[in-house]
Amino acid sequence: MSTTESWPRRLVDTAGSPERRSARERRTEELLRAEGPALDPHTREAVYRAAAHAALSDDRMPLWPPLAAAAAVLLAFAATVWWTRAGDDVGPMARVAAISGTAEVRGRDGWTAVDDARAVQLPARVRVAAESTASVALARGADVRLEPGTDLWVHEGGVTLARGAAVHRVAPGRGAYDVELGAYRAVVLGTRFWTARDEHGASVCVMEGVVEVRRREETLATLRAGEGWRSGASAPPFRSSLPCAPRPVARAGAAEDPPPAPPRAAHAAPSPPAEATAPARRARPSAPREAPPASATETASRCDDQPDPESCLRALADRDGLVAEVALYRLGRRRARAGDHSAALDAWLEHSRRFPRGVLAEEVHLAILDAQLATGSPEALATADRFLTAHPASTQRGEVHAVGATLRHRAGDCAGALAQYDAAIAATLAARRREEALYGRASCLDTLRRRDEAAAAYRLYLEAHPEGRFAARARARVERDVVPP
Amino acid sequence: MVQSAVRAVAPGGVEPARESEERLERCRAGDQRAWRDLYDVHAPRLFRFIARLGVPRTDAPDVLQETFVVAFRRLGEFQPDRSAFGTWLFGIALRVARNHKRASLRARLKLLAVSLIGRAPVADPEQHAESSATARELSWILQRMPEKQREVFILYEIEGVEGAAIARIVGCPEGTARSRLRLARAQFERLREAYERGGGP
Repeated sequence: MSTTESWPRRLVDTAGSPERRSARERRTEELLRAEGPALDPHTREAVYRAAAHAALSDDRMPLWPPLAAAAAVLLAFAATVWWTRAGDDVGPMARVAAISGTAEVRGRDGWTAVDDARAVQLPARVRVAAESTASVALARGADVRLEPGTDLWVHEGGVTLARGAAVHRVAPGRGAYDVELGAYRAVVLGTRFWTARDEHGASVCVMEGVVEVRRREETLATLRAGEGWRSGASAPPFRSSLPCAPRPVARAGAAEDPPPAPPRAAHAAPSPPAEATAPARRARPSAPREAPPASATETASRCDDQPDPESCLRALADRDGLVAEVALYRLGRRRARAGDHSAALDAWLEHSRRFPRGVLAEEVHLAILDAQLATGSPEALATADRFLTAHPASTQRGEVHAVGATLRHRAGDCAGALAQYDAAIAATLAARRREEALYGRASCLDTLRRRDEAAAAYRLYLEAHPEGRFAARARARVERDVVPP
Repeated sequence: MVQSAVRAVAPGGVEPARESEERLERCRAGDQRAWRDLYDVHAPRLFRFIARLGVPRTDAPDVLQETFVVAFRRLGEFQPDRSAFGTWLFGIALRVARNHKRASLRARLKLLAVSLIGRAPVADPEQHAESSATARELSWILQRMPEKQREVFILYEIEGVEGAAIARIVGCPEGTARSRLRLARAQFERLREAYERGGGP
């Protein structure tokens, strides 16, 4: 084709009269002129500053005069002195600290792992891995705690939450603090609150102070302590009800979790990985832990200082409302930590009966599953199935599918297990759990004598985890009796 | 003002926005204000372009940032007599997005392989999170086009870029770009029908 040939008329020919176009042409125009995703102002500002900063500091730019270099050294020294003296009032910088697990900061060379507390230039992008947490101290006494799996931009005046959940603490009287949540914005003047953003929308829950939720310039809700909001909810702000923790997106902090159960005895291949039946303990969402208003949580916390915390929690559990909910949940956790899973189960089942739609319903459902797995209860599979029906928007569905798949696999129902392995692999899953699901799926296909698919699945597992926990077994399967590559 | 500057070229424009030589001169001289203006004029449109190329929405700000880092560093190399400034920026954004997608592809390859074995590929929900049903439909169609066809289709039919400029941006002969457009149009119609028949989300 010659390059002198002219290009065809565009599908949307702007020279033509709109009236003379067919309905299909008008629809084509509408389609091709559809508004794409828009860059929100805070992200725009953050990207601009980061780009300008990176370009300015590049060595391919014209050389700075020696005087400027000397001034920069002096400035850096002054900034260090100022930083040391300023404490948490970090100005255009922020400090990433309290890192548990893996945290990364994005700089001009891409993502860099942060192991210890360090200062970062604002605006900055910070993220934590699926089972990690970190805190960022901002200017003017604000700080934000990143829940596991969270990714956010930090600006001088707040944060833009790209994904995940975060708890914010804002000192009063030191300027406004905004949290961008996609199309929504939470505006505060001094408070403690929780925000989350996932593919379903945004959520806000206030623990102290007042938060305004806005969309563009319109104020959608003014929330006080104990009130929550989520996008898509047309109802007025609620108090201490479900939307305070509508879709928990993260897991519980390790500090308050009971110790993990010892691994069960390994099964010979093609049995599913033995460890795969204790995920609910790690799959527990952390959001509800933050979600209840401070008063209920604090009331229950006081029992820890009592001579008989069990009786104290039991007394609170006999009340009504959120205090009873929190007390029952904590009672179960306390018993589980002491190794008495049956008694823990009693407390959580009571919660389930009394508060089927409570703030902690999802959390308690997972706890029940956890306890049943720990005690080897045959009810666990039914509980997992009920969880999937009762919590269609839960971010823990992948983990629960993985549990269901493993239990079905062990019970010999490989056909049922396969569908759940697929669902688990397609969902957001911890790396360890994904590894188990990949191996379990291959193993199941092997059991069903679907050899070609099993071989492909084993190879896939080995490709993803060449040194994985089940690599030797998978390799043996591939080399011994499944179809060679 | 930013919006009007973008809109002025998008529907019927034959090339992406032309920058004033005076502002570019100020940028070259390191005038931060001029840089900011330049960014404000071009960033929204580039962001949409990057997202439509298939970069996940959470990564699009990073790709946009990298595009401007490269542009700011290489501003001295821009030759106004060879192309419009917008064309030059589109070219940078396309290369940065390609590199980004290549890198993230490596990371996602294993999951993709899982999808290929037993199921249809899992769509990134964020890529379908645009506000309107029309935008969702367009996104659905674009994500299913072959990459090279998609690039030419977006530049010609959505961004209104002139043909010769497209060839410069994507780095191929003009005849090849035209041929990709022809294939992309056929693919667009097929996907559109598939969506209307209920194949969409």
